[in-house]
Amino acid sequence: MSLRILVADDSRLARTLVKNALVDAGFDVVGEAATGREAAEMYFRLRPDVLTLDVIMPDVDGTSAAREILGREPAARIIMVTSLNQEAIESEMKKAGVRSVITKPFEPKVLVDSIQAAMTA
Amino acid sequence: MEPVKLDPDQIDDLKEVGNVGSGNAASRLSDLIRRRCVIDIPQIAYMTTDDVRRVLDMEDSYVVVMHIKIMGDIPATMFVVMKRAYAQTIVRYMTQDALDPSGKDFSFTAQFALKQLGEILTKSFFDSIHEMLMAKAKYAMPEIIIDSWSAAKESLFARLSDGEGQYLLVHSTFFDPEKTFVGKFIYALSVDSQGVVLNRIKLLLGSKKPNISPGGMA
Repeated sequence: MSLRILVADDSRLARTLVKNALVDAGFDVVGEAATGREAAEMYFRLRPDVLTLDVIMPDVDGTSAAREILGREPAARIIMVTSLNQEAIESEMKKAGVRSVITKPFEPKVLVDSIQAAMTA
Repeated sequence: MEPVKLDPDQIDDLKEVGNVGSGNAASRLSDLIRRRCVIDIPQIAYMTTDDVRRVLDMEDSYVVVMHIKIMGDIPATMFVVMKRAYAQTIVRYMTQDALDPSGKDFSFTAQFALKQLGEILTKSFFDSIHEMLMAKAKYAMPEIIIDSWSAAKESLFARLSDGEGQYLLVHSTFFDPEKTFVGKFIYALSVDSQGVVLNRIKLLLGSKKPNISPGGMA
C-alpha cells in the first residue's frame, strides 16, 4: 500500500509541484490544505502518513500548525517545504519535532528521500 | 502593448514566484547578519500610478534603494527599498564598524557592503526563481540610491518608464522578528516578461494532473 500524504501550501502552484513529485514517486496524495488551520484540521481527519507543510501561509502559519499537530501527536511526521531556508528556523522546527525542512524550489528526489527517511526514522 | 489580464489563479501563481524569490533572498540576508529574517505573503499590483504610490507609500524619510536590472529569458527589474536607518542597521550587522560614528553618512566601506548585499539578494532572489521556472538570467551590478524617499521614488518611476510602461509589481516585506529593520522586495515585470513567466508556470502546472483521493479537499 502506498504512503498517504497530505499537502499544505497556500499556493496552487506550490501544491501542484509537490503533488507531481509525490505522484511520480508512487505516493497517494490524500488531501490539500491552503492554510495552517486547514492543515491541522485535515491532518486529524485524514490521518496521513506524512504532512508536507509550507511556512508562510495565511490564517495560521506553518510553524504554528506544526506545533499544534505535534503538541497533540508527537509522532506526527511533518516535513516543512519553504522558501525560508534559515538555520534558526530549521533548528527551531526540528526541536519541535519536524522531521526535515526542504527549500523551495526543490528537486523531487529531495522531497521523496525526506519522506522515506521520515518513515524509517 | 495591452496589459496582461490575470485571473485569480495566475495572481496566486505569481505570488508564489515572488514568495520563492523573496524567501530565498531573506534567507541569504539572514545568513549574512546571523539573525532570523522573515517575509510576509507577497502581493501583486499593476503598474498604475495609484497602485505604485500605494505599494511604495512610506513617509518621506531618507531611504536606501538597490536597483537591479535582470536580463536573460525573463528580463525584469528589482528594487530593494528600506529606510536609511534600517539599511544602517543591516550594514552594522554585516560589518560591525563600517558606519560613520555620527550615523549621518555611509562610508565607502558601508556603500561597498550595500552593493555586495544588493548582489547577494539579487542572485538569491533570481537564481531561485529561474531554477523554479527553468530559465536563464544575467545580472547587472546593483545601483545604490541614497536619497529622500520622494526623490528616490521619482528615480524609480523614471527607470520603470524606460520600457513599455506597463508593469506588474510582485512585492513583499522582509523584517527581523524584533523589527530592528524592515524593507521591501519589489519585482517588476514588463508585459512580455509576465507572458514568459505565465507560460513557464503553465508548463509546470500542465506537466502532470495528479489525482486527489475523494474527501481530500479542505
